[in-house]
Amino acid sequence: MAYFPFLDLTITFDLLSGIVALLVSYYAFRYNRLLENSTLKFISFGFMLLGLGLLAESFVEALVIFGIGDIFTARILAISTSSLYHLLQIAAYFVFAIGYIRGAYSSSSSYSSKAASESTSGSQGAVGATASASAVLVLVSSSGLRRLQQMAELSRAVSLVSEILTVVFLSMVVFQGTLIHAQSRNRLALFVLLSFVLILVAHLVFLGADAFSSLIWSLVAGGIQFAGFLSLLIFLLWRSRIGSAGKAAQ
Amino acid sequence: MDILQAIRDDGGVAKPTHILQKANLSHDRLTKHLGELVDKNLVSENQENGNRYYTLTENGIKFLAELEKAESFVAGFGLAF
Repeated sequence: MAYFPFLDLTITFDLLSGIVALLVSYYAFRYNRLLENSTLKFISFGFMLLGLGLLAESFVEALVIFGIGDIFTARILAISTSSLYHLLQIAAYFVFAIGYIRGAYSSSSSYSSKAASESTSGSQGAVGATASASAVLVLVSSSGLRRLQQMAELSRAVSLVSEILTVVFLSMVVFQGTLIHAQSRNRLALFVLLSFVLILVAHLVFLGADAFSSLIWSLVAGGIQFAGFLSLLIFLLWRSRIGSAGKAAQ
Repeated sequence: MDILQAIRDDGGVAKPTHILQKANLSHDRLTKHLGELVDKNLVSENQENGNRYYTLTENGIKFLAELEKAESFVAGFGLAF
């Protein structure tokens, strides 16, 4: 814990959130094979990006604070991974925003086997963001203290821009989710909506924490984000009872 | 899904007329869908005293449970089934 006493808590939040995100991605992928629903593809892809980003960031931060490997290389890796995570995050929430807008405005049932070709438009944002991420990773190959400082500055800028874009995309998701929930009044949907609201609040706090370089607020934001993923986990667990117990839980 | 649920709601075995009412399908569509479900081994067709019955198979029970889970997952994300 050389940098921040609560960093291990942040890593735990990120790790657990990443596992929940990958679980959601897995179920969305599995049910998409059954139902052939294009929105499920967006959900699966978006949560996969988020999950991988969260796991990668927590793994590299763990390398840094536990002093595994060369500290200089570990810091470069941490800064690049953080930037990569932020870019994956933008891509993920962009994918959700597109998916939700399609879900809200598509006519009647969203289920269509023709959906595969349509899903490419949402993927383009993700491809663009990951292409930018690879540009950041090019810097990893360089070394030297000055380069490290430049990388840290770039990483902070990427983080700030990423948070602003994430807040915009998440606001769209929450707005559409609220509209959809107002029509369906589904109790399960409330957990998903609550999780997106919590994640949005978390990113607003992250934005403030980034702007003022506050580690404490960053930890608070991580905690709120974790609560959002916890809400998703409750949704997954509650939903899993429904198959055997009929629709009683809804 | 409506057909499978109709059979399950009748205790796992149902007459075509019961399924027709509960699933709210035309006779032609019901016959077509039941044929598909029998081919996929989700439902089995039996004859008893000149009456036809449809029974949910093990595969059918599992498939219906999976469909209901999928439905609840999709509903959770605010989508219509």
